[in-house]
Amino acid sequence: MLEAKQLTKTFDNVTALDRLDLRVEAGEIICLLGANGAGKTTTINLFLGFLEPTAGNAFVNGLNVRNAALETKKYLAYIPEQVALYPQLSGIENLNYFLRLAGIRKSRSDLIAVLIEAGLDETSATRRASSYSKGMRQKIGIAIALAKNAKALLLDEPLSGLDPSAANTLCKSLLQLRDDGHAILMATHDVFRAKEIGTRIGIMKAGKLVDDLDASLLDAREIEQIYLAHMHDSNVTDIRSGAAA
Amino acid sequence: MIGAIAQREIVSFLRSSVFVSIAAAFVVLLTAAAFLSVERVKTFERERTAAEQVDRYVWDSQGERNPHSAAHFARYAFKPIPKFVAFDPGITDYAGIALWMEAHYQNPAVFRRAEDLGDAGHIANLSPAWVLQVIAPLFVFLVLFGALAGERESGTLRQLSAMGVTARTLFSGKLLGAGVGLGAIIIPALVFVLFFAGHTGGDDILPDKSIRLIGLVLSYVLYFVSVSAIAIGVSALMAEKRAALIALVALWAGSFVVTPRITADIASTVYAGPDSATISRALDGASNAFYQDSEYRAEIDRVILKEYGVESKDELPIEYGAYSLQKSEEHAHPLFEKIYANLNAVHKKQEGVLRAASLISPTIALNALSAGLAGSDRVHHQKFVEGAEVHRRKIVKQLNEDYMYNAGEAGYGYAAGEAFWKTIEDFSYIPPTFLSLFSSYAFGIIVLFAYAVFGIFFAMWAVRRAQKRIAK
Repeated sequence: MLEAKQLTKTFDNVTALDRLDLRVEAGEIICLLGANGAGKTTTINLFLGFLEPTAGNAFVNGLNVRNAALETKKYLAYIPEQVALYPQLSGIENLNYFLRLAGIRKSRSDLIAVLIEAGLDETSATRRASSYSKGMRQKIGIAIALAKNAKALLLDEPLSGLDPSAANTLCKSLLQLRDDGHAILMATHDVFRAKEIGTRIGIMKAGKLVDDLDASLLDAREIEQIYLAHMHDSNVTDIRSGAAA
Repeated sequence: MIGAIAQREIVSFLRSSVFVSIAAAFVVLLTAAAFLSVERVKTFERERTAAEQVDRYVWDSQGERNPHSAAHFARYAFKPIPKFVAFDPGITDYAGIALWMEAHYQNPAVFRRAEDLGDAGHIANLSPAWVLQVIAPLFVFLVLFGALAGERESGTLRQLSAMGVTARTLFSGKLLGAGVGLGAIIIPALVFVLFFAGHTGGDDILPDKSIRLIGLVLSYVLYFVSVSAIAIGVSALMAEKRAALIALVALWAGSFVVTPRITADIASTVYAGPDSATISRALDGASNAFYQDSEYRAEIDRVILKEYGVESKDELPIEYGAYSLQKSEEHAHPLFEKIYANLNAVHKKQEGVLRAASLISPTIALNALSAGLAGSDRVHHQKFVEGAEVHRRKIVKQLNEDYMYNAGEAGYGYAAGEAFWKTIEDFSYIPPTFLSLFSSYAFGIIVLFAYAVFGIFFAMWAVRRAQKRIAK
């Protein structure tokens, strides 16, 4: 569903992303871990077509983003760290607006049903978004993905700043979307949540994907140790061997 | 997609207390301006009608006197005030509303309202046109400064781009939303004010009222398309709403307020017209030139003697003095024309400076076009002056000829009476049609079109640039 082939982006001689090869299949959640500036957001921006790759290509549902940026957006939903909403509109109106931009029209009852499915109650959905918490905004983002029936979700640090309960709700929603066959690529700093929901965990450093871990084979502590070892250029083989044993 | 964006914009406007407050203040100001302007024109009209009646009465009841003496006693040509003057007074306050049609003199227009206003004169220029030309752009800027900068600052621009909204769609939606949202306030207000102005006070003298009405509406629509597009474009160039607000307020102050005033000052300084004393001296000179032109006088003597086949003036069957007076009038005509042509040339040079400045200030372009469509600019005033001069020449000739043919032995002692005075027609003036003067306004129309096209392309470019920079 999402594929990067030798995807590279440089800014003024600084390589933000270096020959990334990555595939995210339907029903998978790939979590990208890495320090700030590791290339996680650049990867997402390249899939969204916000940036032109310097080399290589990004594909969405088999379409090259470079050639068919608009077409690929039909299959994508994007949830940033802070889902931006229009404060004068209610949750329902925001959802309706974004869906209309995607060419989708839904009745009010259908919109409410989607919002409830995304975890937002009806009373909250009718309130203006200016009063929404970060978690409620994320739910609107999930609702857009649900209603749009996006094949792939791109999430850029959606868990940052969420309280544990809201983070837990978001993770549950993502797992549900994964089970429904959506491909999910999520950039995050949260190792433990990555372990909880990720199918695979990619570790990025200085624009490179330096490790690609099967989340089912490692516990959170082991993933954290591998991550830290990469960050400190330590040997990760011992940690992996220990985990395998 | 465009409709959805436009609809969202409108809903956001309506739910914004800032928009509602500014719109309410704008409507109140425009209504006040319209009311005051209409009242002013009504007063003008009352005074003009009364003065016309008095002038006619005084003329008819002047008693018996020599017709040439009556030509000095003279009559006034009153300038009819078109109803649209209540919308856009143009130069009405400064140009004078009556001409004294005196023998031997082509007088300039008098009774300027500006002279009667005293110290308040320089700030007493509140009119609906001024509100729409100067204040309404500020209203538009205050409403639209966050159009793109706000989306960028809040992050919704990324959301929109992720949904596949292109720069063209986004701009079109924004412009349509602004057009409907702002247009819902401005257009009905404009039409109401034009209707209000068109049905109260003033004369229904413009022969092409519908064309002028449509022209006014279209001109202002073009103006607001330009203003809105520029606001969206500037907003798209700025990363923050605050920066966009500062940039737009600075643009408003510079291009919409200061530039027109400075340009007018520069124009009148660089191409300074003669003062009234100089004009008066020139008119005196033209009037008396006949008596210094012995060649001309010899020629008219030769012509009249030949026409009547006589040897001396004493043998003429007409009053020679009246003939001479009429010829002195005719001698002065080209001299008067030259004086006023020179004055007009100065005014045209001043207008040329304003035209050049209209390339950096759409307000200047609209200002000239609006006054032209309202029939209150210099071009229309000039036509009135020319019409009045034609009438002056006609009645002076009529008076001189009565004296010339009917004086007989009485000579200068001849006196005409009320029956003759009643044959002297009032000045009746129908202003020219707008289309007949179209060439005077073609430049302004082109400039306004160019601003709309430039504004749209500029805004498209700026929105595209903003979208490209969302990942940076």
